[in-house]
Amino acid sequence: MQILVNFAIPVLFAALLFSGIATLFHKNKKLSVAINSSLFLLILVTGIYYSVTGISFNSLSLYHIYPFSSFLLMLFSLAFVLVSIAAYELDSSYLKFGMLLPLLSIGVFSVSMASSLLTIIVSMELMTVPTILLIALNGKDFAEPSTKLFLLSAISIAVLAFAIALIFPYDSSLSITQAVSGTIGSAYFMVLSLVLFVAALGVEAALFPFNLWIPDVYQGSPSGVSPLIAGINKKVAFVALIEISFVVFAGDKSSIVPVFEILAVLTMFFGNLAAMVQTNVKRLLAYSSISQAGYIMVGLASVTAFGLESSLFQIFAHSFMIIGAFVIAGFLAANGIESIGGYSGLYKRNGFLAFSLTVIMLSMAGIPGLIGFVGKFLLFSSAISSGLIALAFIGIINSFISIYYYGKLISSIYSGASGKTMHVPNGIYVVVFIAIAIVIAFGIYPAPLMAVSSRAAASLFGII
Amino acid sequence: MLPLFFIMLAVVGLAGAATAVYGNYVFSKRIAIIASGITLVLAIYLLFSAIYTNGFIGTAESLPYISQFGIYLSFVATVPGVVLTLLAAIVSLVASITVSRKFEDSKNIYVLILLFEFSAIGLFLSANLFLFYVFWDVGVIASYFMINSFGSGERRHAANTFLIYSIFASALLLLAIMLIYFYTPVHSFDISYIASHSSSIPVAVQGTIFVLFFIAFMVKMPIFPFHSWISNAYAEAPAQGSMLISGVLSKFGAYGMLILFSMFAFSSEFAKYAFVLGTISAFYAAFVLMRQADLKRMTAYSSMLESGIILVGISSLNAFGTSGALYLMLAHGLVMALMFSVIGGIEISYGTRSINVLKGIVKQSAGTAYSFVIGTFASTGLPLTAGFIADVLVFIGAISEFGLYGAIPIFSIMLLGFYMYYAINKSFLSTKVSSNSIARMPKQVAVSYSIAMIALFAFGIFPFFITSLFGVGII
Repeated sequence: MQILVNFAIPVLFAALLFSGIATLFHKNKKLSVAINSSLFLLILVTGIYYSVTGISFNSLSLYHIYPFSSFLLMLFSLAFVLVSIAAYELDSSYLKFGMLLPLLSIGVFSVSMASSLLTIIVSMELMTVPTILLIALNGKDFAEPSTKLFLLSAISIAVLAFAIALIFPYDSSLSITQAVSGTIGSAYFMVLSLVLFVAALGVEAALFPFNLWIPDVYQGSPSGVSPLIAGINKKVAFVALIEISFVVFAGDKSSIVPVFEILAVLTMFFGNLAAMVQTNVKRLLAYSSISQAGYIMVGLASVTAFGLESSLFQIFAHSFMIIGAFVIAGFLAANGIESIGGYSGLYKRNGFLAFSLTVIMLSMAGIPGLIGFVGKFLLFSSAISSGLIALAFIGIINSFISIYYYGKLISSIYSGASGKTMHVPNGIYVVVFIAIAIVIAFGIYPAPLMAVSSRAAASLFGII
Repeated sequence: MLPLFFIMLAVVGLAGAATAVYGNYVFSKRIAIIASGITLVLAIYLLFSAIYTNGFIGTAESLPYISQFGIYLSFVATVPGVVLTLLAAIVSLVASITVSRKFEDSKNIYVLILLFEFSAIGLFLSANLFLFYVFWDVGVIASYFMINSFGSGERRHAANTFLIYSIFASALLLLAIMLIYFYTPVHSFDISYIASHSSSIPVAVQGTIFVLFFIAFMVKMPIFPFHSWISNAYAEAPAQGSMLISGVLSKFGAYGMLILFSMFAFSSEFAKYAFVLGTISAFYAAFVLMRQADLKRMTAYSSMLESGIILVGISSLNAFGTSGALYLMLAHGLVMALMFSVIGGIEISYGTRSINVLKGIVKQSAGTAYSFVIGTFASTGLPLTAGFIADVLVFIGAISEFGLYGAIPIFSIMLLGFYMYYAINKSFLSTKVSSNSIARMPKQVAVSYSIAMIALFAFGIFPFFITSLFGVGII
């Protein structure tokens, strides 16, 4: 039993890898999606088990399992189930997902459980390369987004490596828990390294000056890939950012707070103001997801366990909201509907999609009774409780601005003439249903999710 | 004892869910009427328990919700809560009975009416500010969809304006609530706890919180600089939406004001400014009203005028003013239900709302015409209607606090009266020419405005149903 508990994750990784390679040979879409999804579900079960028992141990001296990583295992495995089913329905050539998703997911899970800086950098790479391939393998129409993503992630990895190299001489260890032990001496190198870390991870996490590629790539990617980049890759960058800034640089709170505060404000304003003028729904969602990255930074800026808890809650919430939204937008784009104007009359064409998109939009805008409200409430509360009242005020102003474009999309859905009814494939139906079930259920009764994320946040502060 | 507040919420909520999931137009309408009827009976029971049972005011029911932050699903019976719950139940019943233009899939209007009633009852009975905020926003969203999906003419523009103003108010409200939470000694959202411990909040923060709340409630009531959403929103909403938004949603703001002024000691410094704002708002509304030709827009501005008077009553900070303001909220909510259902009926049977076109309605449907006249009487405070009691109480309160200045707002009501009688006399009651009716007045409309009228007279002739509560104390 103990062996099963300790080695469940490595074994499941091996199985995922095997499933990916096997897809090369059997070339059966259905079999591939079935095996991958069931493996992700097994990881979900393992994550739930770890989280419920609150277990904490090191595995293969590579992975560190503790409530923080169990929380992320649950989040990402469930997200992967949704993403792979959605890709199966949205992408006619699912096989490349069948091969690359397992590889990518190992990278994602490894970042969540990383115990050394080397694991973080290698896993980030393991996550980014398959993503670029997933876009690029669709033919030369997709050369632009894939090239953009390739160049930026190459630069970001280089910067990340340089940031690690800067602090390595001071502690001669790559372990994230040992790096804190206090040998980092020179303040100058430390702040430089911190800024480089933020810049490198800010590219994937969509923080303000580093996020200009986001709309092009989110919009230009194939429908099956956008939910993956927005719902998972972006969140992984946040996880790495949390691990580095909260653990490695734990001793230097005073320089983290202003950096994160400024990034939060700029990112929120940039995302929300740019989203107001968009007419393409995928692009609008891309900018809205930039603004949500700003909200997540509000929680991180307070550098307290409460702030981290609210950021983790919002990461969970936004992951499922944006997956649901991009799956709907991707499905409609496949039917030739891309602009806000094109969404008019959706209510009469397919009530389920219209209702789900409305719920997700309202949740992102922060309407009570939905998960997005709880997330924002926690984030702004955490800012106020650590004295950042101006930051909370700016966050609330932004949340008010965002209602404009969410409202515009909603009112477009419920207006206009009816067209012919649309048939939704079962896979899309299931994915969207799970997403809105999470949005509504944790919106009405957030206590369990808050308990889990608060334990995760406490455990991250506990390993210092 | 039975958990009465939870039962009321459950009845409305389950009925709303049932209509959302099953059924067609007829079924949904029946369910809505039955659920609102049951809620009305329960609300009347609440009122009678409040009058005849000692210690009923202050009864609380609570369930743990987010225990980490001390957030409970807690409800409490307060005097304004009980009175306004009764108002919400009556107006929702009127709204479920009346009809407006036909829609292909209009069962959703009943889902929205029930959702709105759910939010209204929850808000008026909630014992903490967290729930207050949650129900506030649910009400806003229900109203938004009522305007956006079932409105007339420029409904999308109206709905978006409404939403932007409302979310602006919500944002300020949320910030104020979070500030209160973190500045109270034991972090708490509980209204009675905050009221008794507000003095321990630093004075500067108290002022900030007060102003944030005040602006949020001003938007919703509406009071002068933040009123420009009403004319479109009230005019383009369907009849049901107009009566719920003007009759009940604007009371969210007024009820909030009432709580706010009793919660902070800071209110005594601020009262005179609030009085001035209320007066300006009332006169502004009266003058704008004279330029309107659309019945719904006229009624919308008359509603804004009454909101100004309510603020005058609340800012008096004495028993007369506050109880008068509460009575006026009740009376005005009923007047709005009456007037908007009559206007809805007129729109169905004459196809227009313009007073320049409508002529001689009194000849074809005398009942409707006279009901509108009675609604006007009630809003100008004619004796025997609930509006009279309310105005008397408000102005006794205002004069005893602000001296003769307190009587100034009376003239705005006079202006309202002059213009409304003049307009009605020219259109409804003129018998020289008559407009052609294009359809019969639906029977449901007559039933719905009769209910509102009966309530209006009942509270005008038997004011002791409400006034006997005032001895207990407002909060």
